[in-house]
Amino acid sequence: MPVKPGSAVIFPDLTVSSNSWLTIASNQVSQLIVSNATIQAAGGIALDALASTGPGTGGASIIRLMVILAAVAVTVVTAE
Amino acid sequence: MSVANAPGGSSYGSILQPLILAAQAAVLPFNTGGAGGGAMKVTVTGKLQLDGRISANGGDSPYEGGGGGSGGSIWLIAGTLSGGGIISARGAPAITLKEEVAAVDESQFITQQNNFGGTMCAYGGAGAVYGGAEQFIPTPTASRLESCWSIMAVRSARTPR
Repeated sequence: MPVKPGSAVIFPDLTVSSNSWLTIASNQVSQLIVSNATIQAAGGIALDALASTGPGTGGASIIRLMVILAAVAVTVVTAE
Repeated sequence: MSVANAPGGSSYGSILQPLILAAQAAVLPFNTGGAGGGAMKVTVTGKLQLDGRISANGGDSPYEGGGGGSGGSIWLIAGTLSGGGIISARGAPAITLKEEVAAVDESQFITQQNNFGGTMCAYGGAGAVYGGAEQFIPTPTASRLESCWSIMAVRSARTPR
Protein backbone atom coordinates (compact mmCIF):
# COMPACT_ATOMS: atom_id res chain seq x y z
CA MET A 1 0.00 0.00 0.00
CA PRO A 2 1.73 3.22 -1.08
CA VAL A 3 1.42 6.32 1.11
CA LYS A 4 1.18 9.68 -0.62
CA PRO A 5 4.65 11.22 -0.59
CA GLY A 6 5.41 13.96 1.87
CA SER A 7 2.02 13.92 3.53
CA ALA A 8 0.50 12.91 6.83
CA VAL A 9 -1.80 9.94 6.47
CA ILE A 10 -4.42 9.46 9.16
CA PHE A 11 -6.19 6.20 9.93
CA PRO A 12 -8.51 5.48 12.82
CA ASP A 13 -7.08 2.00 13.06
CA LEU A 14 -4.45 0.22 11.07
CA THR A 15 -3.82 -3.48 10.69
CA VAL A 16 -0.94 -4.76 8.64
CA SER A 17 -1.47 -8.46 8.15
CA SER A 18 1.15 -11.12 7.71
CA ASN A 19 2.99 -10.90 4.40
CA SER A 20 1.65 -7.37 3.87
CA TRP A 21 3.79 -4.26 3.78
CA LEU A 22 3.14 -0.57 4.02
CA THR A 23 5.73 1.58 2.33
CA ILE A 24 6.32 5.02 0.84
CA ALA A 25 7.83 6.40 -2.33
CA SER A 26 11.58 6.78 -2.64
CA ASN A 27 13.21 9.95 -1.31
CA GLN A 28 10.09 11.09 0.51
CA VAL A 29 9.43 11.70 4.19
CA SER A 30 5.94 10.83 5.37
CA GLN A 31 3.99 10.86 8.57
CA LEU A 32 1.55 8.20 9.66
CA ILE A 33 -0.98 8.94 12.38
CA VAL A 34 -3.27 6.23 13.72
CA SER A 35 -5.34 5.64 16.81
CA ASN A 36 -4.43 2.00 17.21
CA ALA A 37 -2.21 -0.20 15.10
CA THR A 38 -1.56 -3.89 14.82
CA ILE A 39 1.34 -5.17 12.80
CA GLN A 40 1.26 -8.92 12.53
CA ALA A 41 4.26 -11.18 12.30
CA ALA A 42 5.89 -11.31 8.86
CA GLY A 43 4.29 -8.00 7.94
CA GLY A 44 5.15 -4.42 8.65
CA ILE A 45 6.20 -0.96 7.61
CA ALA A 46 9.18 -1.20 5.28
CA LEU A 47 11.28 1.86 4.48
CA ASP A 48 14.38 -0.06 3.52
CA ALA A 49 16.68 1.28 0.82
CA LEU A 50 14.36 4.13 -0.20
CA ALA A 51 16.74 7.08 -0.07
CA SER A 52 19.63 8.36 -2.12
CA THR A 53 20.01 11.99 -1.18
CA GLY A 54 20.54 12.19 2.58
CA PRO A 55 23.57 12.53 4.82
CA GLY A 56 25.67 9.80 6.39
CA THR A 57 27.61 8.65 3.41
CA GLY A 58 30.73 6.76 4.30
CA GLY A 59 34.13 7.48 2.87
CA ALA A 60 35.67 5.67 -0.04
CA SER A 61 38.93 3.86 0.15
CA ILE A 62 41.59 4.56 -2.44
CA ILE A 63 42.58 0.90 -2.39
CA ARG A 64 39.81 -0.17 -4.73
CA LEU A 65 40.62 2.63 -7.13
CA MET A 66 44.28 1.62 -7.10
CA VAL A 67 43.35 -1.97 -7.87
CA ILE A 68 41.28 -0.83 -10.82
CA LEU A 69 44.05 1.41 -12.16
CA ALA A 70 46.59 -1.36 -11.74
CA ALA A 71 44.38 -3.75 -13.67
CA VAL A 72 44.00 -1.21 -16.46
CA ALA A 73 47.76 -0.65 -16.57
CA VAL A 74 48.44 -4.38 -16.77
CA THR A 75 45.93 -4.70 -19.58
CA VAL A 76 47.54 -1.86 -21.53
CA VAL A 77 51.04 -3.25 -21.08
CA THR A 78 49.92 -6.71 -22.09
CA ALA A 79 48.20 -5.36 -25.18
CA GLU A 80 51.37 -3.59 -26.22
CA MET B 1 36.22 2.11 9.64
CA SER B 2 36.95 -0.82 7.41
CA VAL B 3 40.19 -2.67 7.10
CA ALA B 4 40.64 -0.84 3.83
CA ASN B 5 40.69 2.38 5.84
CA ALA B 6 37.48 3.72 4.44
CA PRO B 7 35.55 5.43 7.20
CA GLY B 8 31.89 4.91 7.85
CA GLY B 9 29.57 7.87 7.60
CA SER B 10 29.07 10.29 10.45
CA SER B 11 25.93 10.37 12.51
CA TYR B 12 23.38 12.89 11.38
CA GLY B 13 20.06 14.43 12.27
CA SER B 14 18.44 14.67 15.68
CA ILE B 15 18.17 11.71 18.00
CA LEU B 16 15.07 13.33 19.48
CA GLN B 17 13.40 14.20 16.21
CA PRO B 18 14.82 11.86 13.59
CA LEU B 19 13.17 12.46 10.28
CA ILE B 20 15.93 12.62 7.73
CA LEU B 21 16.44 10.39 4.78
CA ALA B 22 19.64 8.40 4.76
CA ALA B 23 22.33 8.45 2.15
CA GLN B 24 23.23 6.17 -0.62
CA ALA B 25 26.70 4.81 -0.11
CA ALA B 26 29.68 6.52 -1.67
CA VAL B 27 30.37 5.69 -5.25
CA LEU B 28 33.66 4.78 -6.81
CA PRO B 29 34.35 4.21 -10.50
CA PHE B 30 32.36 1.21 -11.69
CA ASN B 31 30.71 0.85 -8.34
CA THR B 32 27.33 1.91 -7.08
CA GLY B 33 26.57 2.12 -3.39
CA GLY B 34 23.48 0.77 -1.72
CA ALA B 35 20.50 3.06 -1.16
CA GLY B 36 19.93 4.57 2.27
CA GLY B 37 16.95 3.89 4.46
CA GLY B 38 13.82 5.99 4.24
CA ALA B 39 12.26 8.16 6.92
CA MET B 40 8.84 8.14 8.54
CA LYS B 41 7.21 9.51 11.66
CA VAL B 42 4.69 7.06 13.06
CA THR B 43 2.30 8.32 15.72
CA VAL B 44 0.00 5.84 17.42
CA THR B 45 -2.15 7.65 19.92
CA GLY B 46 -3.43 4.42 21.44
CA LYS B 47 -1.93 0.96 21.32
CA LEU B 48 0.67 -0.35 18.91
CA GLN B 49 0.85 -4.12 18.83
CA LEU B 50 4.03 -4.82 16.92
CA ASP B 51 4.75 -8.43 16.13
CA GLY B 52 6.08 -7.73 12.66
CA ARG B 53 8.68 -5.20 11.60
CA ILE B 54 9.16 -1.46 11.22
CA SER B 55 12.42 -0.90 9.42
CA ALA B 56 14.39 1.75 7.59
CA ASN B 57 17.53 -0.20 6.87
CA GLY B 58 20.16 0.71 4.34
CA GLY B 59 20.35 -1.39 1.23
CA ASP B 60 23.17 -3.52 -0.05
CA SER B 61 25.01 -2.39 -3.11
CA PRO B 62 23.89 -4.17 -6.24
CA TYR B 63 27.48 -4.26 -7.43
CA GLU B 64 30.66 -5.67 -6.01
CA GLY B 65 32.75 -2.83 -4.72
CA GLY B 66 29.90 -0.60 -3.64
CA GLY B 67 29.31 0.30 -0.02
CA GLY B 68 26.22 -0.34 2.03
CA GLY B 69 23.60 2.36 2.42
CA SER B 70 23.04 4.26 5.67
CA GLY B 71 20.22 3.46 7.97
CA GLY B 72 17.26 5.80 7.77
CA SER B 73 15.03 7.36 10.41
CA ILE B 74 12.12 6.00 12.39
CA TRP B 75 10.37 8.43 14.69
CA LEU B 76 7.90 6.31 16.60
CA ILE B 77 5.47 7.68 19.16
CA ALA B 78 3.06 5.25 20.78
CA GLY B 79 0.74 5.38 23.74
CA THR B 80 1.35 1.73 24.46
CA LEU B 81 3.90 -0.40 22.68
CA SER B 82 3.50 -4.15 22.84
CA GLY B 83 4.56 -7.22 20.95
CA GLY B 84 7.71 -9.05 20.02
CA GLY B 85 8.57 -7.58 16.65
CA ILE B 86 11.51 -5.64 15.29
CA ILE B 87 12.22 -1.94 14.98
CA SER B 88 15.34 -1.43 12.94
CA ALA B 89 17.26 1.37 11.22
CA ARG B 90 20.67 -0.05 10.53
CA GLY B 91 23.29 0.55 7.93
CA ALA B 92 23.98 -2.15 5.41
CA PRO B 93 27.35 -3.89 5.65
CA ALA B 94 30.00 -3.53 3.05
CA ILE B 95 30.66 -6.87 1.45
CA THR B 96 33.44 -8.40 -0.54
CA LEU B 97 35.60 -5.78 -2.16
CA LYS B 98 33.53 -2.96 -0.81
CA GLU B 99 35.86 -0.32 0.49
CA GLU B 100 33.54 1.92 2.33
CA VAL B 101 30.42 1.77 4.36
CA ALA B 102 27.82 4.35 5.08
CA ALA B 103 26.50 3.32 8.38
CA VAL B 104 24.89 5.77 10.69
CA ASP B 105 21.29 6.18 11.56
CA GLU B 106 18.99 7.88 13.98
CA SER B 107 15.90 6.54 15.60
CA GLN B 108 13.70 7.66 18.39
CA PHE B 109 11.04 5.70 20.17
CA ILE B 110 8.69 7.36 22.59
CA THR B 111 6.05 5.48 24.47
CA GLN B 112 4.07 6.07 27.62
CA GLN B 113 3.84 2.38 28.37
CA ASN B 114 6.32 -0.13 27.11
CA ASN B 115 5.36 -3.77 26.98
CA PHE B 116 7.51 -4.40 23.98
CA GLY B 117 9.60 -7.54 24.13
CA GLY B 118 10.99 -7.37 20.64
CA THR B 119 14.20 -5.96 19.24
CA MET B 120 15.19 -2.40 18.47
CA CYS B 121 18.33 -1.84 16.45
CA ALA B 122 20.16 1.17 15.09
CA TYR B 123 23.74 0.37 14.22
CA GLY B 124 26.15 0.86 11.39
CA GLY B 125 27.05 -1.76 8.87
CA ALA B 126 30.34 -3.58 8.90
CA GLY B 127 33.21 -2.37 6.80
CA ALA B 128 34.95 -4.31 4.09
CA VAL B 129 37.54 -6.84 5.06
CA TYR B 130 40.41 -7.86 2.86
CA GLY B 131 41.57 -11.28 3.94
CA GLY B 132 44.27 -12.06 1.44
CA ALA B 133 43.13 -14.74 -0.96
CA GLU B 134 39.84 -15.01 0.83
CA GLN B 135 37.48 -12.12 1.13
CA PHE B 136 34.44 -12.52 3.25
CA ILE B 137 31.44 -10.82 4.68
CA PRO B 138 32.06 -9.87 8.27
CA THR B 139 29.24 -10.64 10.61
CA PRO B 140 28.08 -8.10 13.14
CA THR B 141 30.27 -8.09 16.19
CA ALA B 142 29.07 -8.31 19.74
CA SER B 143 29.53 -4.58 20.13
CA ARG B 144 27.16 -3.95 17.24
CA LEU B 145 24.62 -6.35 18.60
CA GLU B 146 24.78 -4.56 21.91
CA SER B 147 23.31 -1.55 20.23
CA CYS B 148 20.09 -3.50 19.83
CA TRP B 149 17.83 -3.11 22.79
CA SER B 150 15.50 -5.84 23.92
CA ILE B 151 13.63 -3.44 26.16
CA MET B 152 13.50 0.28 25.69
CA ALA B 153 13.31 2.50 28.72
CA VAL B 154 9.92 4.03 29.25
CA ARG B 155 9.84 7.68 28.34
CA SER B 156 7.14 10.19 28.69
CA ALA B 157 5.45 11.11 25.50
CA ARG B 158 6.19 14.64 24.49
CA THR B 159 4.90 17.15 22.09
CA PRO B 160 7.30 17.51 19.18
CA ARG B 161 8.97 20.83 19.19
